[in-house]
Amino acid sequence: MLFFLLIVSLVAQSQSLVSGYVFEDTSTKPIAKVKIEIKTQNTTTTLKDGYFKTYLKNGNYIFVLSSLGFDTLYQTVNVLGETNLKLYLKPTFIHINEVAVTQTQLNNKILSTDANVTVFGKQDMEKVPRFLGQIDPIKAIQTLPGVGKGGEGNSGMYIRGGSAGQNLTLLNDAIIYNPSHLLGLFSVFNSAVVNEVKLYKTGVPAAQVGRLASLIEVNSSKKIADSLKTEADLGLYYAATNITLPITTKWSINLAARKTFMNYTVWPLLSKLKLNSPFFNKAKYDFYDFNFTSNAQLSQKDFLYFSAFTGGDNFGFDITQFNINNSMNWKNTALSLNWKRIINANLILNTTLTHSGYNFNFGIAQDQYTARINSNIKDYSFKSYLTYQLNKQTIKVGLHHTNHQFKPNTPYAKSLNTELDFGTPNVYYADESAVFLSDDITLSDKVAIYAGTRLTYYRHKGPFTATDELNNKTQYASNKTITPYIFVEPSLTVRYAFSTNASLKLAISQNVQPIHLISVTAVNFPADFWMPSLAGLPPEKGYQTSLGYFKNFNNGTYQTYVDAFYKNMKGLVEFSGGIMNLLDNLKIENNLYKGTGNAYGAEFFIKKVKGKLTGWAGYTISKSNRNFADLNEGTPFPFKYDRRHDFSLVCNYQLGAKWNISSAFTYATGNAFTMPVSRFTIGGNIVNEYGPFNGSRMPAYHRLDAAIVYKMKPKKKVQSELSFSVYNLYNRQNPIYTFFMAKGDLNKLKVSIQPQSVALLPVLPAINYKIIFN
Amino acid sequence: MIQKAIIALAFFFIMVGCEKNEFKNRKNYSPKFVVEGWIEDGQYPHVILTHNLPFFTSVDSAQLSEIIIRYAKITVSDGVNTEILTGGKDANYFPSFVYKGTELKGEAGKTYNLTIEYAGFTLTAQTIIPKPVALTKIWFVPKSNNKQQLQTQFLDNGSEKNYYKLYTKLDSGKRFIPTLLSNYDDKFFNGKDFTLQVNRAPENNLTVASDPFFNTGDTVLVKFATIPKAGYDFWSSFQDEVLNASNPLIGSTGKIKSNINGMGIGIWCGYGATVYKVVAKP
Repeated sequence: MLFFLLIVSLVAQSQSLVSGYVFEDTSTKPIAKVKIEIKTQNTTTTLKDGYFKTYLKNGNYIFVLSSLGFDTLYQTVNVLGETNLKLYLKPTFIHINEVAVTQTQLNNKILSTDANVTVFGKQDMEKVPRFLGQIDPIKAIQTLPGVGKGGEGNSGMYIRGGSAGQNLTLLNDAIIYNPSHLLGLFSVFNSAVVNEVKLYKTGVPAAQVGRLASLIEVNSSKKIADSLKTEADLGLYYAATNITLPITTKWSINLAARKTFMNYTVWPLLSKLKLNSPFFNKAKYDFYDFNFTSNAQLSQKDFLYFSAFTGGDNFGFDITQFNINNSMNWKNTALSLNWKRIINANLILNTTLTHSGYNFNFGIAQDQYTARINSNIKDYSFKSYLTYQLNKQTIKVGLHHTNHQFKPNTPYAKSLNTELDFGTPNVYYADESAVFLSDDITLSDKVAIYAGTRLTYYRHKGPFTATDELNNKTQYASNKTITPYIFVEPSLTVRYAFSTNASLKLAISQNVQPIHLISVTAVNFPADFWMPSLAGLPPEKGYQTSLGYFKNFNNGTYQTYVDAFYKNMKGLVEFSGGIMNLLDNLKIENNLYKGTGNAYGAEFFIKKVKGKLTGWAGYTISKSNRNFADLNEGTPFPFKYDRRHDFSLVCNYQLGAKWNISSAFTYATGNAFTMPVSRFTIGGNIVNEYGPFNGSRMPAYHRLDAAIVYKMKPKKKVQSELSFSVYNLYNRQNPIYTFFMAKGDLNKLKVSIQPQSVALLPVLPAINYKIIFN
Repeated sequence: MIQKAIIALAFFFIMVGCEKNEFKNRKNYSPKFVVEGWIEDGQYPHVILTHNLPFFTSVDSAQLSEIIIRYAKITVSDGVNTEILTGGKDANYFPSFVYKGTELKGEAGKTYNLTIEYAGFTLTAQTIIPKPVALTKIWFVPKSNNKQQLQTQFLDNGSEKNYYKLYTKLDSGKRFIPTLLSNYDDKFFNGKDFTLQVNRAPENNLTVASDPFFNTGDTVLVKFATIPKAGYDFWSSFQDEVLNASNPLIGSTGKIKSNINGMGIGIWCGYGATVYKVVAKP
């Protein structure tokens, strides 16, 4: 199929006007007499005011802009109908794709062959009200249709009925296993560092590792800074700083750090106001993160990018009734080194080395007894691919290798001074080797196709000791293949454009993921235990079909779409015990329920992009079911994060040059949970007996946030802004968890049982001051 | 434009003002018998029989006495001898109505069948009494404030699979209370000399945390029992439910592993139990 697409020859089609201006650097000073060569096409020159125009058929082009005293600019331009460009030339050296280009984006969603991709730049993120003074890229993504929120205290994203472990989150190409700081309040992505976020709900590019639900790509700026810029940000709950430093004209670095101090502000305050739960006390929670990026141009055609991220969280509280102390902490690390080589105007080579690390601890202490479970992942990965730009095609071909080390549950327990002996911790080694090929091809004015495929050879490898049912042990040497899996992930998107303002897109894809996020069904906070595929634990497989109609109105002022999807999933797993069972050093693979699932629904979206009032509204109606032979007596039950209704509305109003007002409202059907239906007494205890699995619903989740930002009059080299934001404006008590508490005295024959809902965050106002030195 | 925004905001408030649906779905209650039965080495069998209650019914003294089933026919058999148990009041237990035997005493290594017949329903269960294992050492470690922590030690038999359960009670106490973590699987200490630091647990899950230690001068009875696998599975899932269901980081797995066949839940368990008496000397 792909081969056919590559050789298909195209009949003539009408041409579109491509016009624009060329300016100097980032200014508005036009450059005249710039020679614009359009590869495989024609040549044109700018006029006195920097204006140029030409007619081109739809397709991909490389514009080569040259002018005396300026560096040559190689700019890829994707012509999809009438196109208006602003291009900037820099004195001294080449920039390829690195200079800010504002291509008219109006028709991108309509005409691109990406099935349903949302790209959020800085401007979009700023439209969402700040959370505790912070702009959060992931919070912005969560306002889109099809993206289910887990609720308060849960950072997971449940995209089109999938689980949190079915999203692949990448920071500059390195996997982030848990993209949130604890409780989901903040994402790990510092907005100062993030240049854009891309969310793929289907039709994930073949160059990326497969996951069933989505791909979330977070990228920092690849621009080489030419001047020192310092930002400082101080609020009630955190402090942040961001420094951009040019080292030479062709090398710049960026350092960004954030640290919260809620242990000194929020928690004591809640405690003082007696707003915290009567059942829990001594809450503590703080996090930090640190980003470093380096952008360098090694030669005319070589660019080297380095990015490092590390961030950690610490959370704990006590349960008064049982004198139990709980704690959780985790840490993400992501490193990536990317070398981009422009081989010629049509061919680019991208090579990336990455490392991802994840470390999670769950601890419980009661009097002299302490127990802890540690979960740890280490990944190393190498990827290299070629991008070949032809007139009407973009071909990508490459290879990808990843090495995994998983230690999913290493227990530790101590009773007074004696450490319990749990034997050797479970360690699993695995690797994935993949080749991929994709083609983005324009067949005619109306029809364009994306076709891609990825072939992966996955193996669980030694060192490993396998134990069979008779307790016979088999030793596997280091790097010896124990269980291999080979799988293919094809993806096809067909776009049919009715006009430049309306299109229909059909996307069909199969994705496979050889690593599993083990959900401990009863746990109400996200607990992250990842397992690789092993013998008897095959990879998860998902098939998705979606059909969307995309239309722009009012000259592009309103962008809308309706997208319906159906999804089938196999190889899903649920842990059969509770989190305390993981303390037994048990082999997770022997304690899993296996099942299938499906999800379907429709998403409705409208975005207003022009005018003083901008924003968007999204609504999703959907259903997500699971079917496990060993759960709910083998009958289908709702997924814990099944969302019948999910609605978000984001409004932003620009009042003059100084004031910006924003608000966001969100409403979602409550999580499914298993409710007790009866109770009985044994040994003088009141014991719960539970009803149908996930058969009940938590109250609906809803919340309104608002923010006002005041930009102060910029002084010579200093800009500053003051922001006031309120989270949960009408103080909705969204329960994170419900349990049922028995109180009284059986001997006095008096017992009452009450449902106890634990809400986490009341109304939270925040004031923030940000100052930028240029 | 601002007006539009204000109207939009007002609309949200109205929308969110409509609150409903707190905890639906109360209709899945199905009546069941609840069995708590035990037979110890050298002791007569005991069975407490009750039924469950819908979750949200208010509970008062009338209802708590109503859950007791008084007129069941309860039979215990060791395969050769059979005895019908007699129900009667016993204030040491809750509920204070216990069926007891007077002829058939538990013997280590033997299998015991339980049959309960009531109103046309029949429940059955089977258990064995494992061989008792002796505590090799019992002592106290002094703590601050004149408190003492109980310590016990025993030698696990490496050639057999063992499960243990530990209880304590004050000399003056009504009945044995399981210790805080009272169920042990020998997979972590198979064949070893194992020391247990004992923390006392609250009497039940209706009371707030009690003192994990004993007072100097207390006379303490320690009951150490071997139990069969079904007993361990039941008691450890029971402990998970009772101790962890209200902990949001842990939650309930909702899977108490009963060994009662028929329309009932609960446990019929044999105990290879030995009781020791010690004094927390100054």
